[in-house]
Amino acid sequence: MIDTLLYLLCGLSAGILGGYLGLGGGIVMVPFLTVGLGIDIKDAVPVSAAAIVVNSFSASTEYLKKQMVDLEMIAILATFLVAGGISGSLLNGIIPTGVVRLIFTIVLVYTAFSLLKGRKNDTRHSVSEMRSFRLPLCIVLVFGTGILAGLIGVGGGVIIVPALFLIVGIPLSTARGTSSFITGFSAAAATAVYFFSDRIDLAIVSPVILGIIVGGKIGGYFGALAKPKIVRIIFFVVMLYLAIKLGYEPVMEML
Amino acid sequence: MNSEQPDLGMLVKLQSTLWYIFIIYYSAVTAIYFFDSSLAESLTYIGIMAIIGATLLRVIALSETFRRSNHPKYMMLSYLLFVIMLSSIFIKFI
Repeated sequence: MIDTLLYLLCGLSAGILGGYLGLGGGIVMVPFLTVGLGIDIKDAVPVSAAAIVVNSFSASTEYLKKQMVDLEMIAILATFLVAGGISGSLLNGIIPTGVVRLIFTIVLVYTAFSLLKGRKNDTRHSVSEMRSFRLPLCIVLVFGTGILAGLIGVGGGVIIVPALFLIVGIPLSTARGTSSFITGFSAAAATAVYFFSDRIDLAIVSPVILGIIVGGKIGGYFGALAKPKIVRIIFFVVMLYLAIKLGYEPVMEML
Repeated sequence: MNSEQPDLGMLVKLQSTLWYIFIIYYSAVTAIYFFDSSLAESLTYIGIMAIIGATLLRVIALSETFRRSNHPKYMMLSYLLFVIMLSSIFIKFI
């Protein structure tokens, strides 16, 4: 009973922080479960993947209502992201836990710094000419992101959004909407792989999913009211702390 | 055959309905954990299958959106995505 409450609280706090900062939740939830509750990262990753799918239903609907998605890009990129997601979740069973923790640490540090730096203002580009030239590069990047997402249980929005914005030239708001839509597909494929190979801890999933959905809505509401610079600094400190906690052991083992 | 701007209404309806169903379902399952954890685990099992099934429905809705707006190329790509997603289920048998 206490465990269920703890999982619920963990999902709730990850959801609030993720929603507050405009993130999917996986990047916050995996370290919360691993560092906070001492759950093995390989058990935390499948739970995170399942939660990302449900979160994607909510987040992408808002973007769909505002027509801020590029459906054609979704059809092209989702195929590669899902293929990457399946490969990543299969790799998760092979790669040692220490390496998975180390990869997650690197992604965490990258995310912390990219959020601290902030994003440029939304600008509109002429998309059609840029697509044919730069799309293959974006496809490769998205496939790699899919592998990473399946392996460490994150949505991958932190890589996909800049790729769509900077490489393909899609407006930032549309890039966010497109990313929130396709990350649900890759997370679902990863969830299926974990689920059908009996690697999902059923006792954790439900309270965490509920917590992250409710927390995401609360965080999103307060995030809109907060000053972005303060939020970014808080996030930076929390993420760096979690990165050190996650990465310390595998680094020490390597040394 | 002229292609039109895709109508996102079907996707919006499907996603928001599914999201409400999931919220209610997982709230109920989490509450059941406090009384009967084995029943709750069985329900979670069904819940995860529902998440995967809902995503497959979402891909079909995406394909249909393309079909309705006369984008056969993207419709075929979406069905390819459906097949790839379906393949993840057969990992169990490898």
